[in-house]
Amino acid sequence: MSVMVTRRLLPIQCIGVITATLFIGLCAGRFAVDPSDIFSAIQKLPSVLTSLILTGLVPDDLSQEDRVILLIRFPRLLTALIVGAGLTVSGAVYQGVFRNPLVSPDILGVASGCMFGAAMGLVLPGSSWLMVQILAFVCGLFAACAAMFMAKRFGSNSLLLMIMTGIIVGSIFGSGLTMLKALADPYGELPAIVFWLMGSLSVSSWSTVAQLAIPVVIGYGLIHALRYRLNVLCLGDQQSRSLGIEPTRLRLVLIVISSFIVASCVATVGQVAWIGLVVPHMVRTFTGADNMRLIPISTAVGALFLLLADSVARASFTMEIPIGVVTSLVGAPLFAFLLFRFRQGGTD
Amino acid sequence: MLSVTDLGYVIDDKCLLEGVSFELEAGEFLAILGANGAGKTTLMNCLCGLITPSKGSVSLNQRPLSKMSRAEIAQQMALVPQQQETAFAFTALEMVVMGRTPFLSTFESPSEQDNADAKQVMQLLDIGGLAKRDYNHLSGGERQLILLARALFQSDRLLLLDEPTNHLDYRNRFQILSLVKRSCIESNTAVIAILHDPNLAQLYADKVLLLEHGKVLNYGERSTVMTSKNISRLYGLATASYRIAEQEFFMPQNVLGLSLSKVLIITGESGSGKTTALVDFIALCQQKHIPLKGMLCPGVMKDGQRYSSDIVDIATNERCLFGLRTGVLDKETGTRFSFTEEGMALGKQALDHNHFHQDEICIVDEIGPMELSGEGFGRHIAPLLTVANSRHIWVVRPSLVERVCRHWSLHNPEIIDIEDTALAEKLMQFVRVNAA
Repeated sequence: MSVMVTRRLLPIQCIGVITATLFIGLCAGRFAVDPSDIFSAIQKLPSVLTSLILTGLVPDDLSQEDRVILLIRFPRLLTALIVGAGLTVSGAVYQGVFRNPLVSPDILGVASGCMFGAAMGLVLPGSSWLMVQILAFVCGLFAACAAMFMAKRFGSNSLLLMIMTGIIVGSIFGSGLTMLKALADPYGELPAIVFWLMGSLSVSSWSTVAQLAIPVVIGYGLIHALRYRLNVLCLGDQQSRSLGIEPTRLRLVLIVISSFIVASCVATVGQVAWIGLVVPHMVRTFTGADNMRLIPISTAVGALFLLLADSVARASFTMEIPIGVVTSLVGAPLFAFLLFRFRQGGTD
Repeated sequence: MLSVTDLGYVIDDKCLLEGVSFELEAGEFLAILGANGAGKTTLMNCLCGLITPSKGSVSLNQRPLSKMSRAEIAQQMALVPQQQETAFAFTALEMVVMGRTPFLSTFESPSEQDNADAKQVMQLLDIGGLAKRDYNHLSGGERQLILLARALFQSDRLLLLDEPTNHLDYRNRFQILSLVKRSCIESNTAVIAILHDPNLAQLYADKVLLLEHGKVLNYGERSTVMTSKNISRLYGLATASYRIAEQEFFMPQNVLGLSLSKVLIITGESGSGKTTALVDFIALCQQKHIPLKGMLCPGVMKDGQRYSSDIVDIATNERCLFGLRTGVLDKETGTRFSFTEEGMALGKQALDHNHFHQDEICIVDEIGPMELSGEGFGRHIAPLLTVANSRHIWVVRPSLVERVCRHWSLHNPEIIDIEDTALAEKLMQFVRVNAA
């Protein structure tokens, strides 16, 4: 891939590719749908959404195809896009903030916190699905705050220290999760926890989309606006300060926003491994380190990646493969390939 | 432009800077010299507001830094940091454009115009061709030029350079400083540079500040500060000066195989009467009107060991209490004595290189482990050795003689044991023969 060509890769092109993939994704699946049905279904989308928002009810005049496309596949694909985008952008931000291309979004224990929270929700009697998600979200944010607070109390702003407190918090929540699994009822709750941990988009609905879109879109907007400052932050504290930026404050803001995004994503669909680490890393190889390009493009690529992964997960076999399995199975070899290429031909 | 008043920085009860004051006008080049650990980088960090000084103030155009925002400071003051790899592969142009950051609002990013301006700065430094290259793949010299370009793009009013010649080859060292100097002259840029090579300071600086243990040892116009005595004193290394094309340069004496002075070492165990022998000798010299300088430490003995000790400035005959046995090994001084400030001051006065001239004779009683580790009077001895045809009589205990010879690179010093019956004669011969 020529560097000169790909460096001009525009977000608008990414959006084109995503739309095309979205179209294919709407066709694909166990329930066969004709491409022409998609156009007719999409024409009904505004009325369906209005009716859902105003009355909370689905219009009666929908055909079976329309229902599959508009009420099942479309929100699910959108969820995949948003989660993919959210995990990737926060991965890119974490990597910049920690000045380490091998950092993933769960470095501060956010994911462990979310998983613990979700398991707790599933074990506690009478929790609704929403309760599970809220608990996951709150625990995820709590984990990140605990890691940052601990690093601050240890008296240093060192990034290394923050990574270590992240590991401490992560392992505490990890053991809490194991404890909950051990306590869970092995016939009802334990499978629920295990399936939740695998990550799945199968329960996505329009309300999932709404509940995800708000934090992810707002968070992305802020990150997009601050992405140039992230470049400066990548140079380290001394240089940031001498270039007129207070690194501790900016770092805190960026970490809080991205932890918020990660917590919302993981709380909604469970753990989706690798994407936040691999995608920014991969995109960086052809956009360069400049976050002005890296942030929007990797967000688009991340969205596309999860969209494809989810399509593979639901359409390739008779049973649905957990999405986390697909992203790991694709992400890990891809990562290995990138490392291999890096060793072979220098960094570009 | 920049004024620094009584700057102090204390951390964890350790005083890293004390009473540093200086002024810098537009277009001036100030070089900061100091041994490793002298506090140069701490001073630099206080100057650019990276750390808050515990005492004193730094003002930029009459405004204290503490009252300015980070961006306001950065709009006037640019830092060329010690180069290090970046975690991500930014291009050289991206690095240079970052100099625009302090002028951008929080959500703003550099414009096309900024990119064009940055390229122009790079072209002025003849590095336009590097714009698209990966910064991490550049050579040390190229990286330094990129950082310099970024700093000049950021502000050409005040540049701070933190050891700019590190990792640079012979040619690049001069190139980078010549570019900086050009900016001083053409754009009236004020420059503060931490340098390790006194000769580079000699070539480029207008003013020089010598820093030792966080205190200003000397500060002023280059011609008054840059003397071989001051340089020897700063680094504790006897340094000679020589001339090339009307310009004075410095080089360690031992490297050149020069010894401008002669050293005689009197050695003997503790309590063997070394000081007493010297007291007699000094009296004899006074009778014969032979002037002597230096210091003497007559001790008071108790139970066969030194209990306390006075210090005497031989030239003025002033005397005061110097050390008291505490019986506890002090880790800082490596001795079992505690020393009085008054005594230290008198000793420093006695060994002051500013009052020591050609053909004179200096006695140091005695050179111990503290001096060998650069503490005590350790750093005061080297500048004395640079004085032409001077003679030095040192008292050294036998176990340290070899280390002392190595430390001050002495070539065949005369070594006399205290038991030597001809000691007095030999001493007299040493001061007389050379005087002839």
